[in-house]
Amino acid sequence: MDFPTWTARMGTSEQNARAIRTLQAAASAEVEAHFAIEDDGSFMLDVLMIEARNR
Amino acid sequence: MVRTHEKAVEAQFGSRAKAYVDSTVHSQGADLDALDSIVRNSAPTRALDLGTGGGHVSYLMARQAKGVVAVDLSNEMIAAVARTASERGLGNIETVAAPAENLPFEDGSFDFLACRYSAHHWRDFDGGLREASRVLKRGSTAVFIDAYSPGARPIRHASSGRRIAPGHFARP
Repeated sequence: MDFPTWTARMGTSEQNARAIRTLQAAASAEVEAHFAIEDDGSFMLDVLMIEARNR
Repeated sequence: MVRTHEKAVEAQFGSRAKAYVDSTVHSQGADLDALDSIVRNSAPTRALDLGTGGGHVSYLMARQAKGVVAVDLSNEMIAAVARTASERGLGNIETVAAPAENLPFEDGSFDFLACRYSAHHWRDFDGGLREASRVLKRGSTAVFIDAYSPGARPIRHASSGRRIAPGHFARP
C-alpha cells in the first residue's frame, strides 16, 4: 500500500494519517519487518487467494 | 440519525468510486493474473463479481465469460463501473446494487463467482458466504481474494535456537 495514494483514496484526515504513522513508528522490529513498513508509511499486506468448488 | 454499517460503507466508498477505478493497487496484481487463467479454464456463461468495487474483476472476467454481473453495495461504485465498462466497450457487464448478504438472484443462477477485496467490508461474513453458495450452481468455481492475517510467525528461541510454534503461547 502506497501511503499517500492509500490515504488520499480513503479520504483519511490529516489527523488520522498522523495517528497511523504514530502507530507504525511504535511498532516492534518484528511487525515493521513483517509489513515492510517504509519511511513514508507505505507497507505490504498479506493477501490470500482461495479457489473453491460449490457443493 | 443512526449511521448504519451500510450507510457508513456507502459514504466511505461511494464518493471514492473513481479512485478505485483508477487505482493501480486494485487494477493490477499476481492475483488478477491467476484469476484470469482460472476464468479462462472455466469459460463461464454467467459470472458474478461479488463486491465489484472499481470493477477490475468484472473487466477481466468479461473477456472470458459470456456475461458478467457486477454487484456492489454502493450505487455510486456501480455507476462508475457501468460507465467504465461502456468506455472500454464491454457490453456484457450488467451492474446491480445489493448487499452481499441479500443477493437479488435465483438459486444457482451463476456458473462462476469471484470476490476480491470485498468480504472484509461485509456486515455478516458467514451470511455473505451462504448467499454466494446459494446463487452459484453446484460444482461451479468460486474464487475469493482478500487481505488476511497469517498470525504470528514461529519465533526462534534466543537461547536454544529451536523454533517455537505460535500455538505454544497462551492466547489472550
